[in-house]
Amino acid sequence: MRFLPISPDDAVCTQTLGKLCSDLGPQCVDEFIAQFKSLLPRRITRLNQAHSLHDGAAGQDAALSLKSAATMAGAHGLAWLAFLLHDAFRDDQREVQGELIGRIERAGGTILAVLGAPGFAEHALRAYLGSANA
Amino acid sequence: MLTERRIAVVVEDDADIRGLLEVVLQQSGFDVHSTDSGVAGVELVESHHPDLVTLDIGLPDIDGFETARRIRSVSDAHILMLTARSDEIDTVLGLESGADEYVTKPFRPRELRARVDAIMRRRTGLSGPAHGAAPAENRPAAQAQDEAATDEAHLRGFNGLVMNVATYSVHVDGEAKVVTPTEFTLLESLLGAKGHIRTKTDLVRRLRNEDSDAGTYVSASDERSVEVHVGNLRRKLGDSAQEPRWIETVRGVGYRAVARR
Repeated sequence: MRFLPISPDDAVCTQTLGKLCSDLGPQCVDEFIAQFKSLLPRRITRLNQAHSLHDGAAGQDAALSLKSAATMAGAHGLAWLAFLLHDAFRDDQREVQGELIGRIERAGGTILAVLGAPGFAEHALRAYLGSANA
Repeated sequence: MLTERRIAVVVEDDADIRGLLEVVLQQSGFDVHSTDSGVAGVELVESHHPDLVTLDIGLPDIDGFETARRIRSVSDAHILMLTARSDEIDTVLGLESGADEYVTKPFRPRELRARVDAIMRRRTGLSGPAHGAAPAENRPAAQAQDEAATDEAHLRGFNGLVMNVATYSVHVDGEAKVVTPTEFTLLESLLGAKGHIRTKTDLVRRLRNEDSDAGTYVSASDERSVEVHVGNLRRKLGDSAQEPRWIETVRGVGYRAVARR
């Protein structure tokens, strides 16, 4: 199985994050992004542990946790990788698990850089409102 | 006009998702108490008597199913189970352990808020002295019977079953039965239909506080949830699907109250 890398432009969907800002307010979304960023390394550690311990149930739980949070953060490419990884843990595809975790680590680095830009939530909200009013 | 504050408990081990849930519920007018553990969640329910509990399935200590069972033994709060899994087996297990309904993660805050508002409208419609408190079974039977007798307009009953829509209590042959608000709503809807069939779609919409002809989408999973709730209700009342005393299955369609004996 081959996977294309996630480019910085596609790493985070500003429309998704902008809609979240519109629903909950930018301050709340800033806090969500900060928590998502701080949890990402721990989530990847859980995936690696599940892979090395051959623990399919723990791997599925960790993959679903990442998928849910990534989707809400607008990181749809990362969420897709987590979805594939969930299935790989479920189907005990060890080789695919390893490759996907590597992809997730690299995509995570890109996403952290994009989300780390100052005022990203405000930027996403403006983009969302701009497209909604267009 | 003063609006009564409502209380919610959030049990979710992913801190980022938990933060979003807290904000959604606070914006819906709840005071929110949250935790990442099932055991601590049960303690929060016991100490704060919430109207609503959101419960993740995958928790680090006891899982969401066991947490729901423990919460249900001490509270009639509406339990909204959140899961990233969409397997039917999880849905059935959750409902059987006492959850009232399911929300899949990721969720849309606006939709979750609308759903919570509908739940609270429904619970307000059920409000009475026992609502929000410990299950009716925990009150002295004589007291519950006295309350039930105070206003006959609120009584619905037949074949040995008496439900009081004012005190939100159910008695079978004089014995108090513990039912959740969701089960109470289903029972009230079936008894109120005076022998007419309630389709599963009707009952789903009743649980959403919608008109039966609202035309809103009802999924197979929603209908399955009604089946599980009716199964739980029968078990609690001591009813049987094969020889029903109160709730008769109309195969492939829905349910109706059986004829008076």
